[in-house]
Amino acid sequence: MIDVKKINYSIDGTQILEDLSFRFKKGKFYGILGPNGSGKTTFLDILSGYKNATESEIYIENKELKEYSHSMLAKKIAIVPQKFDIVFPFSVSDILEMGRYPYKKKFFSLQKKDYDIIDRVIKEIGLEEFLDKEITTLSGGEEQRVIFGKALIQTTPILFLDESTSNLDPYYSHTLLSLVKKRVEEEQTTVIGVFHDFNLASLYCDEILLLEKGKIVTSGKTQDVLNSNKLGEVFNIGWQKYKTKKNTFVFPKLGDDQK
Amino acid sequence: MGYIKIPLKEVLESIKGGEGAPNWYIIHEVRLPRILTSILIGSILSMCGLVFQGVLLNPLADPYTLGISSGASFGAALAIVLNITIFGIFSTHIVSFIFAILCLTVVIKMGSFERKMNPTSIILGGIIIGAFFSAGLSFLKYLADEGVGSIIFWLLGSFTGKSWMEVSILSAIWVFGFVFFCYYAEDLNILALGEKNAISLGINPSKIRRILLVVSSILSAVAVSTCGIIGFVGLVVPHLLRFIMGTDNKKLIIGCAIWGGVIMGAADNVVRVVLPNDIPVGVITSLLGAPFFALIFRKKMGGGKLR
Repeated sequence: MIDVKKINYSIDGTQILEDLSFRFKKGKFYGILGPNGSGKTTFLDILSGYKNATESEIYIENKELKEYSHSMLAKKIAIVPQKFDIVFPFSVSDILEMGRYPYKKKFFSLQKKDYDIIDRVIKEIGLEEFLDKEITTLSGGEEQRVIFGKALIQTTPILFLDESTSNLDPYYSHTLLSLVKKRVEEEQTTVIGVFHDFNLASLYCDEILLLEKGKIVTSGKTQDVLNSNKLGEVFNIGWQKYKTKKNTFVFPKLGDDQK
Repeated sequence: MGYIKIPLKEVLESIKGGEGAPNWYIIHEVRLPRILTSILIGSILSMCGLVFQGVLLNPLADPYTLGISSGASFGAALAIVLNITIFGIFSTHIVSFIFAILCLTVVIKMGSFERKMNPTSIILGGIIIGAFFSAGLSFLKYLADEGVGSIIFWLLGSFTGKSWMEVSILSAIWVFGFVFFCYYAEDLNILALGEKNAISLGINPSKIRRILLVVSSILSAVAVSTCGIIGFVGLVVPHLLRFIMGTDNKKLIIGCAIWGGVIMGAADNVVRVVLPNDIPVGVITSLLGAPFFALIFRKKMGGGKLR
């Protein structure tokens, strides 16, 4: 559903993304792995319209990205950003309601249908106790859950996760990713997530793209990519691999292990 | 009330009775315009303050953050020193407005890169331009010799001697500003979630920032060039209301429009009625506003977080 024919992106003469092309299919969970500075976030920024590529040809549901207005795109793609800073003390329920903004007419209040969606997400990710709290008083992980909730409330066919579980404890990482996985299976949502935790990626992603210096080194089924030698080359570190029936888990080899 | 005592009954009669009533001139041509001007200015400055804080994501912003006040002051001083009269009795106002707009243009140019607007560079631009025009103003004061008194009086901000002319101009821009800000209040909420979240929800932050900054700066520039610099209202009223009404800009913009007017109107009446001399109201707002604000702020600052 997202057809990237070509992306080139450079700032001040430094090439960040080079001749990237990939076809993301509908109803799949994609993971992007790569070292720091390999262009993962930039890639999502360009797909979501936050940054303009130097040169690009991207189709989202068969329509070129450049032809989408901001408000049209908001009904297609929701993002959970890696970093965000909320200055004013909005209440959690205010912020969750903003997730329906793309569907709302100016000067009108939300419909019952909107509140149903909001209530469902609140239950799914356990935000009940926070609703009246001010966002500025929450911890980093709690804040991330609220923003995650806001993105789910947006009910878009495409969801981008930029290290969206980096501040979450294991319980909530798995709760949220399972929820996303369920949407992928039941509602054919397309998800692209940037991960640093390979084992989370291993559990939830259907396919993985391995990025290095703005290029896709390899891509394919999650287990195949995690088992390939490329992982060691890209991250410049040895890996021990543990295979179970369904998954491959990888751990870095350090110090004595490397002998 | 006021320097010339007029009983309430006569006031009402003269409003009803038209031109023939006693003291008609004082009430109709002096006091009423002054009261209305003070309400309108308070309302405009408070709304603009709220918008500046929301757009620049900075709780410390106020209508003068972009250096508009310095530009307007410099323009006014220039008009006084050079004795510019090409625009008739409104020359000082018009020249100061032109310089305020000049400031705004330069600051917005300084703060935009590749059609994107960065709040931090906008604020920095405002500081730079503000410093430049403040220095210019000092130089003009130095040149002005005995004219320095009229410059200082202009700068202090006062509602004395306002006519129906000012009231009608201010009402017109107030209506425009109020409708405009109400329309964008919800987008202002979304902006507060940060750049990426805002884009993801379908708004274009740079575009919204630009139009809101331009409109609120023009409104502030009109306010400053008609009544001089009235400090603190634009900073305090939005904060005060945020403590009481919460953070939703849709409610706050209406609150600021009403309470900004009420507070300013009350302040000016205090100046007019209670104090023996007609002290410029700008002095009073800052003199009373600062300690009052400090007080609430200390109380509300629990946990060390700016709220």
